Amino acid sequence: MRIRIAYYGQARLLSGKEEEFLEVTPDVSAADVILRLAEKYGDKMSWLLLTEEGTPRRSVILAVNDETVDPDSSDVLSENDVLAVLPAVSGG
Amino acid sequence: MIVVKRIGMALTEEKLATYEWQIWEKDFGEEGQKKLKEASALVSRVGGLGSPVAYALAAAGIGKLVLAHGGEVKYSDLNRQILMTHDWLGKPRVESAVRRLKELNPRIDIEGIPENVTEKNAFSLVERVDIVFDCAPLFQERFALNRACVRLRKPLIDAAMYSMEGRLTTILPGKTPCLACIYPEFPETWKREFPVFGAVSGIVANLAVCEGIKVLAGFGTLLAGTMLQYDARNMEFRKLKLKRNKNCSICSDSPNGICA
Repeated sequence: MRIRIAYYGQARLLSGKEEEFLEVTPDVSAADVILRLAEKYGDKMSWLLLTEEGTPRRSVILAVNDETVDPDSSDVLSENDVLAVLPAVSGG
Repeated sequence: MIVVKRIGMALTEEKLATYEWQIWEKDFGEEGQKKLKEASALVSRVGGLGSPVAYALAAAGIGKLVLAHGGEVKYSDLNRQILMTHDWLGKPRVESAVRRLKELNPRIDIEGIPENVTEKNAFSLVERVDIVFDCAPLFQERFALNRACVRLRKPLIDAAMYSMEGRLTTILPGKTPCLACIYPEFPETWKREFPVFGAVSGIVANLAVCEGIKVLAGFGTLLAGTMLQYDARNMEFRKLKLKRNKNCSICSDSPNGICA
């Protein structure tokens, strides 16, 4: 199935994209997608999205269809869901 | 000519004339202006974001501003920190801010604190105001303000930007997620230096002041439990529904919540 990823902040810089479509299996959670994006875009993206233990950073806001989700949630995504990835920003 | 209907005598003729055009806003009115006049706000740093926040609050006629910002004016401040001027290079930023705001609106009280918010001073700074505007570039300062606001039950307008993007949410302690609910762990990936246009900071700053005026005057719909994300690159706004963390280390009712 196909989902859409919307990148913000440094995630947009490192992916070089505002958004993209991704083909995923029907059993994936938001955290699974984050692991895949970290692998796809290499070390800098991996550092941005994952802890040293390789789990999604809890300082990165994840939202599915404009509702934030806990990265520990095992809820699976659905066809055409939009996963927004918002690393923490504090510019003043 | 003043055309507003008078309610009581709290506003002088001069003040009514000064604020007349915003008093025409029917949900605000003279009552709203009085509430604003009686209110006080802390602005944490008057840099790219805090400068236009303080400017808009002063122009609107808030009763008292407390500005907290350390350091001296540098050349690299001047593309966005609209309360800093060339003739003040090398001198304290907060003095420049106070000077400029008094030129704009001599009717309001302004207190300049020549230091940034820390865990040590956050509580005493928040204690003396009705509302807080978080415009700091470091999460240490944001978390210190969040903790103090939750403990003191003071509304916190949290505004931030990066590149061509901005984020804004209104935190009402006990009712909405707090900053520690939104970021349950310290954001190690955030770096002190970031790309910034003054215009992008100015957008989120003025949206933040709209939120603050609505909180203080009691009208409109707030970004309470909602994060506004805007993207000036393609002029898109997105609203994200936030969730309270029932195990939040700051605001939850659980034993984890140190301020609950």
